[in-house]
Amino acid sequence: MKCNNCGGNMGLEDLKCPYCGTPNPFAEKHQEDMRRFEKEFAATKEEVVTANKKRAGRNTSLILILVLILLDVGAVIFAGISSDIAYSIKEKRIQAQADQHMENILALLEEGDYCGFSAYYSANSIYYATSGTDLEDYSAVHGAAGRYRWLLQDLEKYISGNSYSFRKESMSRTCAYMAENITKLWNVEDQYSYRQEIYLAPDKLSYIQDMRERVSLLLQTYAGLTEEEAGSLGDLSQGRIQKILEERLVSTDEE
Amino acid sequence: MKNKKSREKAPLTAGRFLYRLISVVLIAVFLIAVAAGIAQIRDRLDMDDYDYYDEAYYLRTLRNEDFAGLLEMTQDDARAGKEYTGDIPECRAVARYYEAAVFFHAYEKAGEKDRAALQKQRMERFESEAGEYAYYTEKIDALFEKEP
Repeated sequence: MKCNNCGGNMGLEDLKCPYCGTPNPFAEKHQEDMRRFEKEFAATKEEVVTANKKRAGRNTSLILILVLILLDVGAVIFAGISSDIAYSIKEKRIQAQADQHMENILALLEEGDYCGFSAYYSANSIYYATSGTDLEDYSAVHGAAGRYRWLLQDLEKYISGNSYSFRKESMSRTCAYMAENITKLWNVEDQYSYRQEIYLAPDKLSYIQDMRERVSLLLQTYAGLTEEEAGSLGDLSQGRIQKILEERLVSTDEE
Repeated sequence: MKNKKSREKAPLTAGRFLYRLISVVLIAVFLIAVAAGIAQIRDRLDMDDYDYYDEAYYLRTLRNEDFAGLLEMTQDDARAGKEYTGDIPECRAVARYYEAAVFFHAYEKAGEKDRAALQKQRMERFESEAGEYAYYTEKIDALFEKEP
């Protein structure tokens, strides 16, 4: 722009003409405008920054809530499958000792300690982890041994004459339970009809047969079964076996 | 510092209150679910480690002359690697004596001499292992003197 007095060049921000010193009427107005603009700019900037901060704060809150919801879903799933996790840990522990268990189990079977064999399975939770190990091959023997063990436990209680199970009021229930175990022991093959070649291999069957012979003998000796009855346990119905036991076993109240 | 102060003084609006409430509830649900899961796993694993059969339990069963119960306990107490301390081995020997006696008398009555002799040997072994509780073997023998 030109000075009104001398016509010299001067800038908008120059308060006076640099050549003649005449005051510049536009400079003051310009500076005032600039101050106003700066103020407005600062206010707008502050507004934008505040709005952005608010939006960012809201977004952060929403993200946090979302993360917490996801964590909750994960935690609830974890709680739901915690039993499976525990079983899986158990299974791994048992499988890590599978060789030792196998050795102990074979020793018990060789001794003819079928009750010990069955109890060993339970005490060491082996049934959790037989899948895929050699222990699985003994599933049918284990099934039979469980029945054999429960049956012998009842007979041993009867012999010791020291059990509530053989009092009048519980006699019938005990005989029903014994009859069920006898029937299941004699029909164990039906429960392991799949993979028979493994579960019911000759060596496994010989253990099962030995258990049956022992039970027959013990029932003859202590429950008063005749040789014929003891020899035909596999052919008798569960109800018939129960009836025979109820007839022959003497309740401890009567002794 | 200024920011902190202004934040602290920020009024608790309904939205902010709701946000805090939801956060607290979600954190509580998370902590409870995780704690329940961990407790469940620990319980399942501890269940295996828990030992029900201590010396007092063995002795109580023996003194009650519950030989069948003692044998059941002896069989069930079969955790791999467990060491039997105190008088437990003697109590277990009495239980095993009873088990052998059950079979001995059955084999003897059936005239199976070899098997009976094998059970007799076991009875003698367990009697010697029963130590100071060996007198219970006489009580066991008396059980078999009764005619069924």
